[in-house]
Amino acid sequence: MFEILKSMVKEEWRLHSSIFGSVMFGLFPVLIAAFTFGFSVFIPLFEAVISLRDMYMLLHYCSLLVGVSIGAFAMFGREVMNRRFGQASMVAYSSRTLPVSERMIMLNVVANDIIFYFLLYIIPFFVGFSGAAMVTSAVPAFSLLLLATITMSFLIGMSVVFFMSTIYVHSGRFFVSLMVVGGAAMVLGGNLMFGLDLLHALPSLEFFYSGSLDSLFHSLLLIIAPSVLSLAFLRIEAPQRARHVQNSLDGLSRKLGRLFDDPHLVSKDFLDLQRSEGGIGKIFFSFIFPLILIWAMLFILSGLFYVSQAVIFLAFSVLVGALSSSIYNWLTEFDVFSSYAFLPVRVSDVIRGKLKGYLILDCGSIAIIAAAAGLTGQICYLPLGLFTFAIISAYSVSVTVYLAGLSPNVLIYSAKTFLGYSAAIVPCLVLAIITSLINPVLLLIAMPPFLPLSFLLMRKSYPKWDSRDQPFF
Amino acid sequence: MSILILSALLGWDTSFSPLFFFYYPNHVKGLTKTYGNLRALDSVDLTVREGELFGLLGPNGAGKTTMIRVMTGQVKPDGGGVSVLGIDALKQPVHVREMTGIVPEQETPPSFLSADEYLHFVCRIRKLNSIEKRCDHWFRYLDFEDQRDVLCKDLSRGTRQKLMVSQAFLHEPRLAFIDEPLINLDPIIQQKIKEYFTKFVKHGGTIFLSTHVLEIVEKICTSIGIIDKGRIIHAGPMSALRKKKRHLGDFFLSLVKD
Repeated sequence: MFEILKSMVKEEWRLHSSIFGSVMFGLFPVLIAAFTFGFSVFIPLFEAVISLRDMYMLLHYCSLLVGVSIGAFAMFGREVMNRRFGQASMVAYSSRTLPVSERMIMLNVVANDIIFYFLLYIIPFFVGFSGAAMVTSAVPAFSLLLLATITMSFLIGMSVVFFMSTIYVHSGRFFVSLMVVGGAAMVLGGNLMFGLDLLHALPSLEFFYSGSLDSLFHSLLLIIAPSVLSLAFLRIEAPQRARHVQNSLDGLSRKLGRLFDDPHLVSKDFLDLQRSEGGIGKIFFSFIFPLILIWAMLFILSGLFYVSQAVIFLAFSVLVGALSSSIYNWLTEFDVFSSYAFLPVRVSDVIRGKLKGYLILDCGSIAIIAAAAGLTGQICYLPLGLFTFAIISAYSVSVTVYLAGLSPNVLIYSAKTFLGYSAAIVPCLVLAIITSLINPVLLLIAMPPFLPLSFLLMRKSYPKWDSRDQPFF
Repeated sequence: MSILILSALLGWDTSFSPLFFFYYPNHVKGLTKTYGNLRALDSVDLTVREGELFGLLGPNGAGKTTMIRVMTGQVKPDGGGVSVLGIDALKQPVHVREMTGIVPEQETPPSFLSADEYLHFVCRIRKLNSIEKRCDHWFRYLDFEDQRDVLCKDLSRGTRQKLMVSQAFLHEPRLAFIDEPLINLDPIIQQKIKEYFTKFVKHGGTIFLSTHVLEIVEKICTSIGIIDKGRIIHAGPMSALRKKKRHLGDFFLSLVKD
């Protein structure tokens, strides 16, 4: 067991460091720590409007969010590894050649992801936050308890999404029914318990505050039970089972041909997304599920800062725009350029195809924003929300394409790329949110400059990626 | 020759014209490519004439695959020039891939398309007509019609290789680059493919074949090149070897061992 895990951790490190160098990969957690530190040193300034207690709450929910996002990718990422690196080369596929069960391999995959992302995100979070605490002396200094509880929040996020993805893989219909029933129960339960401090009821956060054994037990239960159930009900597909399908490429290409001049590239991406493990539900886990959490966090913040529902709605539209670029990331996951390299296409043709797919799939975000406008009673701000969303979505995806081309999920772990991405996106998001706080109408002036910038980035991206050799795995 | 000079002066693109068909050899000059510390190609000069079935031989890691990738514009060299069918592969890599067929070393059709969808996909990329007819022909010829609706990821390696060979010839190219063509194929299909290559060349096509299986080269190739450690150590017609009654295996080993 330990040997497999050790090999997986080594493999993960070498995989990333071989792509953009050990230094750039090693610097990634340093950057996360630096960002957290940079943000945390301003805590004393924020303390006038947000209590330290609430700050801790946000930190725990951020860790939960990281766990959820990473869990979604990790659970569906096996096919990604398969596509990119071939089955034989990954330790995760040892069950096909060595006497090790799929369940044991999956246990190791989960453990590997926990270690890997713990080192990449959680430790740097903690170091940055504690460092700032020591420097400013405004927050309680270095606390191992804090490290333990944010780790637990992260693990709860991962474990719950692992469980949900297992249900989804078994039965999409059952999963949707469960979500509908669960959602209704939350709304009803929320109304019944209105006034109770539900947000502080996250067991890991409660343990941080109270140190009670009950909350520790609940935290561990939320981490262990869903993971054990997921492993017990893990669906093991027989590798020899061949899947037969009808030719859908032609029909889809004909339909998309009315919109685009290269519909076959877009159709292929849609079929990849639909037929790969988890189907279109992958987008739910990596995009919509984090949005639900963000929605909840915005409501926490609205309570703390006493901001209007209009601002909450607009801030949500901003974040939907930024997060929607994860749809592009998914579209790039199921092939590598080496699958096209021997055909008469350029890297930029493939990128253009994926961007067209992104354009179609991102229309779902419009429905999400409209639903958010309806829920907050801000229908009058819907056009402004959609306007802001569209510009930020275009900008964030053009930054992604410029910096990472066809490999955003790999290159983001390069410190250089991550720094570039943060430097380009964060000011835009901050500007949008501050503008909506001052006067939402000002978004009409603040946001449009990002549109020509997006076009400029796109124009520069195509020759940039066409002129570079793409990796052959 | 004068026609060529005239066309160059007038800036005509002669690569499509049957008039110039036999005038353009495919050649590389001073080609160099390094990966980190590894010199995969070291000042390589090579010419392959139209209508040849050229076999590039070499031990593992000698530079055969890199050579094909550079010649087809998939990888940029560090130095040197490449002309394929009269097209500068460094300036117009997509045009080279339009005009040629390529069977890559690793069979990598997209996982989540069926075999049928994949061939249709390639036809659409190449903007071909009579898609159904072309695909049917190859499914029948390489005997894998029963696998046409199976997802590529679930195909056997041999069937994937059949698919890759099919996609390379769908558009009836004038020149095909083939990297290890018979890998994973059963003897019956191997024989069929060898016959196809021979027929293809007889009808005016050119094949650039990279392999380390000496037997294929000895049987079907009209000329050979031997590459070792990124350098071409021999290039010439097979007939010269046959005249001298030298066995290709011995000849190859004598050169590579040195």
